Amino acid sequence: MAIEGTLSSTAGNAEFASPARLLVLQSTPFCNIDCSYCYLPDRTARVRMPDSVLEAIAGKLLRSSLVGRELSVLWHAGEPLVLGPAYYENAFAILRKGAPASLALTHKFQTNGTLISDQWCDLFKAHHAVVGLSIDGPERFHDRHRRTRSGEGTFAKVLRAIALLHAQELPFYVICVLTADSLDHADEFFEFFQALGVTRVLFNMEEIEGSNRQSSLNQPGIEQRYKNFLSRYFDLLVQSGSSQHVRELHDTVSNILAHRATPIHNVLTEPFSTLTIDTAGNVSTFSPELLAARDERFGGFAIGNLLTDEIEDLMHSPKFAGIAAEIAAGVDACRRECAYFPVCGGGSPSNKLAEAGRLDTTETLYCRVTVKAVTDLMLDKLAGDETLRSARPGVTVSGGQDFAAQ
Amino acid sequence: MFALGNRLSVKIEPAVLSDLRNASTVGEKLAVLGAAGSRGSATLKDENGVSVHPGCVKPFMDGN
Repeated sequence: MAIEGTLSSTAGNAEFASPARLLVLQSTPFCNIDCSYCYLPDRTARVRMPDSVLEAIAGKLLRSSLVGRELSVLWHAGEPLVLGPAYYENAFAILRKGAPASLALTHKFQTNGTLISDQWCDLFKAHHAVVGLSIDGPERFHDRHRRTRSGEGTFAKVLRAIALLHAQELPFYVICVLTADSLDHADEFFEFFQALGVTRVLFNMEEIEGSNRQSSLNQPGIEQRYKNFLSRYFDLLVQSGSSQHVRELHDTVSNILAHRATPIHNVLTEPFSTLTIDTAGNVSTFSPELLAARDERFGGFAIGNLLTDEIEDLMHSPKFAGIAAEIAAGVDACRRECAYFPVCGGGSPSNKLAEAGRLDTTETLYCRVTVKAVTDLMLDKLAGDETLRSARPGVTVSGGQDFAAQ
Repeated sequence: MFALGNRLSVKIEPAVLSDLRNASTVGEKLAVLGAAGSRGSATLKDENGVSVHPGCVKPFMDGN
């Protein structure tokens, strides 16, 4: 079945006109540390994805019409590096052998960084793998939440990992989770990442999601504090001419300017845009966090298993149809009710589920903070508020309408 | 024009800025800038002068 146009009436008329963009593979749910805000429920389970599942991924999924000519494979949903480089040499070979020769696979690791070594860097380099490193800013912020099970901070090990990556000139980005503690310290965070030579920063908020049922950001006035943090970060970025690319700032500007010319794709609400597979071969789509989520009505969110089901089975399963229909209803409600829909595309299903218990709802804390507050901020910046006008030495204002920052 | 760090720059034509400042709601502001972006009157370009349009909201992590 070609993945074009409308799926079927049973899927809530959900359209998925583009191939899968991202494949999240859970090589293991185990994690060697125990962050305070982690949403994964099974991070003490020492299981690993066996060859049989990797072969099914290659033989069934990567050869299916769900996949186009290129695909990012993100090893995540546990600490992938606990399995060692040899595991991935084997896994990469299985996927490459079974996938069509025309398919370009890009491997990415989302890691806490504590296990990165020269051997790991050799693997990253040999396979042109991209590394996403979790670091929550300066030590006093990072070690408050990112600790081992015995309570020790992991900051020093992450710094060592960054030094290794720099030494081998390996590209990496950082994910920094912002909690309420962080929001009044934008200068400290900016200078920290600047000094580390980080060029790509992704700020995640502490989310109510999965097994994490609380967030320090779930309090009155947090949207303004979040906005203030990013506003100051933006000003420092502009003033310094920093090479940092900050997802929340740059991508929001891009979406604001591009949303009419280029339709917004929300990879979390589009069926099969994102696929997630756990160690046992269970498959889910939409938000990757859904694979580990539980719900009274749906049970789990796996729509099938690659060891026992064919891709066609997954695409036409009643479970998928029910999930897709409820998510589509939520997206439709967002489209009707929310002015920010053109730059959002319907929010995050896993956050809707965690906060409201359903997928067909609209606004969440996640929306208010990461979409609305950030869009408001960047609209203000683009309109040329006084902060921006005076933000960089040498800026000249021409007739009060234009900027020159060179 | 202003630089978003040393890699990206934003340029908005004066007439668009005027419309943007006169817009009162989020919907109106997005409409002004979306229209300007589609006709090249508001641009985001990289250091090589190439337009940057991910066209994708909230990619999961940086995985795509």
